[in-house]
Amino acid sequence: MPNDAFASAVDQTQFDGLTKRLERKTKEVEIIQQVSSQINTTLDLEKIAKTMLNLMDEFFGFQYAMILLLDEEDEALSVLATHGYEDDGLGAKVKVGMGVIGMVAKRRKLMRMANLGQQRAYMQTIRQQVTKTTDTELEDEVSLPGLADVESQVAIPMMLEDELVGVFSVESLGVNIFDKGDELLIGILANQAAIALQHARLFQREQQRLEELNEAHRELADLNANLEQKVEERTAELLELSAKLAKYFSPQVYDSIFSGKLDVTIQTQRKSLTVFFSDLQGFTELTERLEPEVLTELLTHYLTEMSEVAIRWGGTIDKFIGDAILVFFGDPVSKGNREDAVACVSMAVEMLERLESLRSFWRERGVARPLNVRIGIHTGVCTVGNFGSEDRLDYTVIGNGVNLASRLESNSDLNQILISEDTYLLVKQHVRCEQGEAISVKGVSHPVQTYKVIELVNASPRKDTKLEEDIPGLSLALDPFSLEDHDAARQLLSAALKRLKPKEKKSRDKK
Amino acid sequence: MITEEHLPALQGMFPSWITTCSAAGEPNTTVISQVWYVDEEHVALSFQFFNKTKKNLVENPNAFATIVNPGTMAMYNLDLEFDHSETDSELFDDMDMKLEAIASMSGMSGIFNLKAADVYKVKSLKALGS
Repeated sequence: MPNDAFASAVDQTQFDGLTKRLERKTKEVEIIQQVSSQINTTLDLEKIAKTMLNLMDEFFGFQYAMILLLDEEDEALSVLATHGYEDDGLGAKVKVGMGVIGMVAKRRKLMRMANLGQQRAYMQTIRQQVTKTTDTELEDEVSLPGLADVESQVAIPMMLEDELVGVFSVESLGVNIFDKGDELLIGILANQAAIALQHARLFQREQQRLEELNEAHRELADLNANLEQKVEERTAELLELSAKLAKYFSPQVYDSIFSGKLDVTIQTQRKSLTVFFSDLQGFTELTERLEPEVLTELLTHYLTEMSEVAIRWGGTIDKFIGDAILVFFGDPVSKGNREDAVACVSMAVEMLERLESLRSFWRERGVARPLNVRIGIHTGVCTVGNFGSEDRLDYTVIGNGVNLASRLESNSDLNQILISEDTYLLVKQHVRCEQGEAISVKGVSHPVQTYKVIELVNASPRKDTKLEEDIPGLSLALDPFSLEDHDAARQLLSAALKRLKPKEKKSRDKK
Repeated sequence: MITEEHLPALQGMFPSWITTCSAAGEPNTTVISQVWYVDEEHVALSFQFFNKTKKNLVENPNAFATIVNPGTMAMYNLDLEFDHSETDSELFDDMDMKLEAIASMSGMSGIFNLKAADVYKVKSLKALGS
């Protein structure tokens, strides 16, 4: 019987000892497996540390234990998790080299301390002696996380290869924590935990970095969006500004400047221009009679209407001088000397027509004798361009031609157009005129022959002009340009005429 | 010679007594905080200050120590003979580390220098009263 033979061969005590050691080793392997499998199921730092501490209590009865992690700067350890303490002390710091834990971190070696209380008391005595008998400046005593009245402590470095990850510390109020035999096992477990913790820490850092990257990405995106928005806002501002600015320029000038055709520098040239000058008669008197608000409205109305006409005929509005208007044709764009002159006179005629309706409008609003105008037109060589200083430029026209137009204006009858002979010669085929007086003008050697404009030769010279009128009982919108069937239109209009009362009954005059 | 049974007495829980003798035959007994376990046949004492013990050892390498197991209160007498001093070894590091840990807690980092770990051969170990 081999068993009996074995039993008799081995001393019973020796056998018991071996059995005990085998049991212990088996238990140790079990513990290692259990710890290792449990702490490797998560990447949560705190959870790993907590699990480790709980298992340590379960297997070895470590009532007070904590795990500290080495900071990135390698200068201190922070409490990651504690077990058994009243105050969890999380986040508390221990400087490397300070106390049992600090020294373990510094030397990377396990430390077992017994009778700590006695040793500290011994140190206290020495401290007092040193302070009393020497001038040595001592550092303040430090308070470290853990039990205040700790008696025994074992601290184990948690290593990952050669790198310190943290420290596992066990404290006890009693004298013996664990015997030397447990050291190896606990060392293995601590290193197991170190691996898990380091993985978790790397994972956490990666997560954090990812989060930072995402954040940076978001900021960048925001910045881009903002940038686009800013550019849009700025562009809108500029557009608004230039729209405002445009009102200070004649459209032709504005276009020329903004398209880059006209340099904004002091630059002038001599050119043959047709210059228009108009002035309201009795406006000064009007300013005394009217409230400023009404006056402003009246003037704005007048200038707006006149500008609209001028722009439509292609005139360059040089300036408004109070109620006076200076318009010229021939710069910055010209259709030719003759065409420019015809356009100018045609414009003046239309202005007078427009004034008619303006007058009735203001009369109805209680302003008596408003808006009677004198107009003078002259064609001649003038100097045109940017005048002024580097800081303040004015695109304008100067010269005798302008003075002459002004003189013609002041010699004109009310609501009449007086043109010079130079203009007359250019427009006579299109405009019926009546010879006027010759006037003498300062700076012009010979008297200037004048002509009064009666009407445009073709009563409806501008057949493409839109006609839009809206009076009570009648709405008319005629656009000859887009009208295709002129005969049908004519029939329609004659049918309309037949419906009107005979001419002598003027309802307006009766009013 | 030293077995597991004696280890708790070498953890510094209870102070130990060490007795040396000068060349002239004058004995000196002093209390020290710890007799360190080195291996089954050796123990170590810390050499921090040049005191009477050290002076005697230079003259006479024989020493006598009494250690106490704090768990059982069993006392042991050790017959020692000074063997050698270590200043750069694991043993030295262990002892130095412990000293520094306690000192740093009391705000005295770097004040205590372990000059050497003095290693003694254990010639005999006897339990007191046995």
